[in-house]
Amino acid sequence: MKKDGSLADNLSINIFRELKHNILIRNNTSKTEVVDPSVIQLVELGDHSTTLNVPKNICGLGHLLSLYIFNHPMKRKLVKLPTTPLVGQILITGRVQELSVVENEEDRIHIVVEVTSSLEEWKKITELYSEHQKKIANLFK
Amino acid sequence: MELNLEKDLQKKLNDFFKGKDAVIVDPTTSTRSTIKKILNSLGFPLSNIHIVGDFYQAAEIVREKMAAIIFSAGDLGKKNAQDLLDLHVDLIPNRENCVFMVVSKQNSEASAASYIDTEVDSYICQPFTTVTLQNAIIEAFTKKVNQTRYQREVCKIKSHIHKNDFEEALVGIDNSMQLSDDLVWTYYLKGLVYEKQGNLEAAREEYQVALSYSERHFQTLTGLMRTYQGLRQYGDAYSAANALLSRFPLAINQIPDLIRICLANRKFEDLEKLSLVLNQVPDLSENIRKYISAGLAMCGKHLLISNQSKDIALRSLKRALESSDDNVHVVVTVGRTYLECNYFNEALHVANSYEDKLGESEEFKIFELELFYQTSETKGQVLTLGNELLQKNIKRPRVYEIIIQASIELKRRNEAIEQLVHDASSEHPNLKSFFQSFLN
Repeated sequence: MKKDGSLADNLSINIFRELKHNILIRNNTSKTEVVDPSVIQLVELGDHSTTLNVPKNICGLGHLLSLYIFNHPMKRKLVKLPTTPLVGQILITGRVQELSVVENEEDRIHIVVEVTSSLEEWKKITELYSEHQKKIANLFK
Repeated sequence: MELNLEKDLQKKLNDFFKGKDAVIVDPTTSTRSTIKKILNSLGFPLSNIHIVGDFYQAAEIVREKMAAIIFSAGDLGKKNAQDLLDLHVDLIPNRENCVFMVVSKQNSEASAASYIDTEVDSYICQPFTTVTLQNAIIEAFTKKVNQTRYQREVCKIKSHIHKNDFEEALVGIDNSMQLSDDLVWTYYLKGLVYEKQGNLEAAREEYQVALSYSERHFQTLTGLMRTYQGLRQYGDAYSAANALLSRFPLAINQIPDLIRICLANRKFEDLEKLSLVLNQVPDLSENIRKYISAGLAMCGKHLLISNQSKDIALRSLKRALESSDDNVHVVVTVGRTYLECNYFNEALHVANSYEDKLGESEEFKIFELELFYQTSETKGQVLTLGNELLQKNIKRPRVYEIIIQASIELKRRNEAIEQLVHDASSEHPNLKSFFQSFLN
């Protein structure tokens, strides 16, 4: 075989990086906040909605939520939600449309949040995941 | 959810689904229900969809129903999708009428790449958008129902190889030559048959022919890399690895092979880069961690022993320990490396830190014996520990060697040393002259 280049040229941390976002929540209905992104998991992204896995007490059906979305990993840990926008922050609001208990995890629920503002911003996020999936799918062609 | 598929495709799907069962194994309830909805909208009967939450339930139902269609989460507790796939391929080696999809939270390219050389039909990353999940599922099924005669023959050949029925595989390989102009799979599989039969020269030749059809064929490049290693043609193995990595991301399960190839070629600059990259990998899940920690331990060991990049080597060894999940091979590799390179305090720290967790392991005990032998001022302690190992039937040559050497240093009676040499020689007759040399 042709000998060219070195293996090191083709090694990059990027291939090990996972595509993730950190989400913090302000519940505008109950006036409460969740600032620990590790307890909120993004499960599914729809065109106008998202499914999140969250602790069960943070919201109820019909509650209006503000989702503060940051790239992963977050540059710093927040102790309270920002009152002015932070660099890289995407703010989206939405209403809890569905709520179901997570099997075998009594203290967690799945919520479906219908996105009611910043749909363009939301679309950009969903596109990131679509593009990533395309890249992965190409490996199997 | 309504999917308006073309009539022709819908008819093929309906035929494909007839009599088939599907298993969705995923601890995440919402993912399961989304997949179920999509399957149903494709025309798959709801009554034949079985939803389970863990590997063991999945294995049971897959065996019972011989389910052809599986959606598996990447992580299944102590097991993973690969374990379920192995079981599925054992049950149904011919994949012509099967679909196996992985839906995984491990969405890095390196994680996904570890499934390329398997019978996985599609790897779906979580979180997913509803549309991409839907499209991925439709694409996987469309590919299955539109298989060419050549692709079906390839499935049969693979199935023969899986069952070690190489004669039948070679017949299929001959048949397949007439079925397509692009014969990359034919020659790859021919190479694989030869490789499995131990004829590495012939395997290499076939793999090279396969590459003449497509230079971007993961399985062939991987096969070639393995074959060159087997032939001890390490320069060519390096070139094959390079060709692979320039076209595909490094698959996480190929890290050990890559390290061996770099070492055989004394490419320490590559090991350095690999160590630096592995040191930075964030958010290690359990499945990834085992590869990364083993990789870091190997890189750290060889960089330190060869006296290259001390800082990177030490950092890699430290991180290997941190991410080891108390894996005895990793811990002992790191401990032995410290010992070999005279980092005695670090080696002692490893021994002390892991004694509670790994104290029952044979490998760990031998490391401790070695450590005592090299660091202990009172060799009596070495004899005590060494004899404990012999009593536990841990009778490796190095254990005898250390006890004999310690006995000589302690000026024990000649008869005692002769007895040890006799026992060691009886236990390891091929090393008799080595042990006898201690008596001179």
